[in-house]
Amino acid sequence: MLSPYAQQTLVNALPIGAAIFTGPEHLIGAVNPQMLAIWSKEADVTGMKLLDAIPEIRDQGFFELMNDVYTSGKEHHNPDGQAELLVDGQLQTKYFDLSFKPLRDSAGRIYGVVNTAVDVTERTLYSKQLQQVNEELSAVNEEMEASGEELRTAYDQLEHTHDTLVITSQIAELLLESAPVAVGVIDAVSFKIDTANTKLLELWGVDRQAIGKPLAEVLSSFESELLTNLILKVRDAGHSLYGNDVKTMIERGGAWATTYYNFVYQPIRNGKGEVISVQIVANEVTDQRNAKADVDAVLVQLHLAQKAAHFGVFDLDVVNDKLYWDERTRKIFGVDPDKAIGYSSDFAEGLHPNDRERTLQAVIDAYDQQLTGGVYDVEYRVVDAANGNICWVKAVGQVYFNSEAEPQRFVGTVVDITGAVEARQKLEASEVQQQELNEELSAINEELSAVNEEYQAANEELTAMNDELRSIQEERTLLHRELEIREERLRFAMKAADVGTWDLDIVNNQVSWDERCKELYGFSKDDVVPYEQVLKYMHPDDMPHVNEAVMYALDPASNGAYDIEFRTIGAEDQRLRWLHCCGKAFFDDKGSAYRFSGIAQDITVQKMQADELTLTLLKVKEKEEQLTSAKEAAQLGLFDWDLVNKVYNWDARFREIFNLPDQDTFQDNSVVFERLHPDDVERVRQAAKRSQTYDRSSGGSYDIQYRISATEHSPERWVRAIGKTLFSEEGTPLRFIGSVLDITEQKQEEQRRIDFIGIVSHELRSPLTSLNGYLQMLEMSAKKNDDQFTNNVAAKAKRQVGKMSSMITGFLDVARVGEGKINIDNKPFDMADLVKAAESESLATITSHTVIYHPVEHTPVLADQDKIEQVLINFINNAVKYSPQGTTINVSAVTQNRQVRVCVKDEGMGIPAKDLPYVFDRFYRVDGEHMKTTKGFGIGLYLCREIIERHGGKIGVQSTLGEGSTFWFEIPVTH
Amino acid sequence: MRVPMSKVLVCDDDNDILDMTSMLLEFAGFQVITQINSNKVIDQAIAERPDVMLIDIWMPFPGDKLTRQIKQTPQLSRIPVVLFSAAINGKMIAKEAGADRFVEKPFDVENLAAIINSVIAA
Repeated sequence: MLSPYAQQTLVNALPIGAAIFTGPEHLIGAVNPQMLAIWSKEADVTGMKLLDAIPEIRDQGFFELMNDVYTSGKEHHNPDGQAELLVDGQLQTKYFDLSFKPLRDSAGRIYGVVNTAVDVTERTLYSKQLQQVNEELSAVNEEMEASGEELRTAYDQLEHTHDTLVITSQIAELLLESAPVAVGVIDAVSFKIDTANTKLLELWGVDRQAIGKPLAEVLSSFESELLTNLILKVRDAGHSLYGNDVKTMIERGGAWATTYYNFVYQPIRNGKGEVISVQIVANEVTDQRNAKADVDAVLVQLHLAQKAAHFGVFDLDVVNDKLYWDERTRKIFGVDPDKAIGYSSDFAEGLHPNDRERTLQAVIDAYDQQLTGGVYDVEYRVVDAANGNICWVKAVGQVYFNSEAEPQRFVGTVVDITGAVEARQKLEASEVQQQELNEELSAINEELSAVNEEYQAANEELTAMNDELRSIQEERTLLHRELEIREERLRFAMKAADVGTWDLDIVNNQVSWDERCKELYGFSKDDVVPYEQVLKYMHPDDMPHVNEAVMYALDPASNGAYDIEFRTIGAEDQRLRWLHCCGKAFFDDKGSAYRFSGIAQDITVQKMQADELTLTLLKVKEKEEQLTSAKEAAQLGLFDWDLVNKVYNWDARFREIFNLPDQDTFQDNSVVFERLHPDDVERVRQAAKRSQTYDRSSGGSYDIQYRISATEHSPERWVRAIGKTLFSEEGTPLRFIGSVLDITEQKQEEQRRIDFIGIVSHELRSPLTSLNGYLQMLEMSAKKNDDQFTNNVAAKAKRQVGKMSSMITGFLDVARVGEGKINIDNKPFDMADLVKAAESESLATITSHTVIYHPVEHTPVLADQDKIEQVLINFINNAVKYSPQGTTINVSAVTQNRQVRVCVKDEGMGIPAKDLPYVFDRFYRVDGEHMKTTKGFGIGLYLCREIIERHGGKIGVQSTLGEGSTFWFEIPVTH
Repeated sequence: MRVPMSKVLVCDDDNDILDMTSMLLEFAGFQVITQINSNKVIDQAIAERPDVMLIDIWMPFPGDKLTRQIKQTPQLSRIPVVLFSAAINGKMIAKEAGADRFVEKPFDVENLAAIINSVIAA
């Protein structure tokens, strides 16, 4: 049986009017808002009897119909059921699609009725109107047929009738079309569609053109046959046919949908009472049908839930004192399924005597709305009326009250909880037992505790002792380990130091020594030897003072100390070794030594190194003396700049050269720059700066010649300064040291030489210049006069002049080289500029060959520009000189691996492989017929090599005989 | 149309060379004016406005000093100067003095003419 709550939930879930009635009086158990709207009643009708709630239906057959359902279990479906209901105080006729179904408990017994209702008043009214029209039509028809013969004579009447017909037909069509249901009329003879509204056409899935056509033509054969049969049945039976919940597939929104319709097939008769056509009215009940299916599903679910939970249901009509128990409840109380139940006789009596009063009081409390709100929740024992067995029950219920707070109904459930209660009781019993045991244990525990405390006290004492012992043990272990470590270290140290040990037993005059010590004496035999034997292996020269040292150590006054170095001669290998021996003598109480032991170490290598060092120091001293004498002889001045602390040291000679005050150190180096010739100050500053700038390639070197200005007391001086900057590992300049040499005389001499060479050169060349000029004039004149002879002579004379000029240049070169070194004056410049200068020079002067200068990138170098240009010009001139007229000479300068390589490539005669290694040698000239016409002393390329090597560069040549040569040089590129 | 000849002022204290050089340059198609006294070159140049000056180095008033003066004289500073000498360091002296070019003696007239033309054109 459903609880009131379940009933209400159930009806509320339905989209149509629904109500649940229980009992023979059809008490309203639950009713949804849609049904209340149909009844025009408020929710307070719930709990009322049907006829009390809706008294106006008393004589309308509904009560009887429900009685029938309640008693017979037969379902009733009543489409277009008519009911007269009070709406706003007036009785109104309404039509409903009604359904009445019995409500059964789990045992299948009926305990109520479910009623659903759909208001179809509008539809029915339309249908009735249609029927009326039809009836009118039939009457007219009858009239027409009855007075068939009168027709011709009564034309006017006919016409009138016809008009009436037309109008009626139009009205009928209008009504038909506006009907809320599908309506149509089929000719019962021809089975043609007389008329059909849109809804029916839609239901059939045809359009309006189907009207007037036979069913067989517009519908499928199945549909057509079905419909024809139905029409035949109606025609033959002469009464309406009803079809409820007829399943129909209909196309909606482009998809097929399952729909349900209630159909009415109604006969339409002519005047003779013959069925001439059949009216079809179809009302879609898909929603209702779905709702009904939902109700059925809920009912089934509920039943299943009840079954699964094994709970019984009770429902007490408090007012009438009628108690309903379902099968399960009856079983719990041991009551027959068919027996009528009484509250006192079955329930109160069925309770266990011990629980009866309490349980009945719980019911009384539940009846008190104020006290409990109608809630009932109790556990009690039931004595099975059939077999006397006792079972525990948990009952939960709810009392429903009327507006005066009087209990009306009391419904709820009961569950057999005997198993759970027994388990609980067992648990409680076991807990009591446990408690007793616990108490016993507690007593024993206390006793044990006392004993334990005694033990604990004893234990603590023992633990303290134990701890003490452990700490002593640990200390000992640590000490032992420390000793082991020390011993090990000592062993390692001795091994690492290559030390041997010895021990002299003074009493027995025996020496015991270890393997290493024996090695040191070149001895490999006994571990113990007489002391005298040991003495034999000592160097004779050292024996006396070794003896002396031993005697001293054995004297108590020495405190036993022994530390001596001496030589040994290996007993077996005769090798000389230097030994360092340390030892200590031990004395007894009487002051007599009884033991003397120590170590011996081989110090031969150190001794030899020391000897070497002594020798080296002597040599250094000697060198220093030599250096001093050299310095004095060369009159070198020394400088030493502490670049970190800015302290400048210049020696006496330096100060003399620079005319500086007589002091060892200076805090400022500007005094030196003030002494310089103004034209040289910047150059010297730059050279010093370059040296002090960290550069691995230059290595901080410094080599420069400059002038010191004349003073009142001294003339202008030339000095050469050579130095070096020392850097830290990180590249920080630390010291700048070097020497200066007064080269004034050397410079003057050099100048005199240069002047002399210059004068010689000039004076020798001047007449040649004139001679050469006149010869050219002669040549031009001869050419002009076409005087071949004079032209030839002039040309030959001119060649001789050229030869003479070259010879003079050669002699001058020899003179310059022969006299001394070439001075290099380094300055930063761009190799590209140098090549460009050479290009403009040769463009104006070389007409015999094509000289191609390849583009040169910016290439900074630190070099003597004039000297490097001299080398390049020399290469180019050689190329012109040794290659045929009209050939090409290529000049390029390319940087690779921080070196710029300058190449001059010609297409000349080339150089034989055997000569290649010597072309840069002084006075070397390549032999050969072709060389006879060329001039020179073999000094030009030698000069080139000197210049390049002084720049820290390389020079070379690649050549293939008959194809040409490539002369090249390389110098470092600066950053 | 006749192209006007470039005017070259040649100065050398060696009369032979002065003579020979002027003759050669005339042969080569230049208009030549000469000066044996290096002290008078400035005045003459101002008066005659040559297109280029060819000056020896070793003279009583040396060619390098004369070049510096020319370069500092507003009326003459734009006239190119070519120094020529038999001295071995002539090229270096010419460069330091700011001369436009240097020609070594003995010279080849074709080279000399080419250099003179190139400095006039520059």
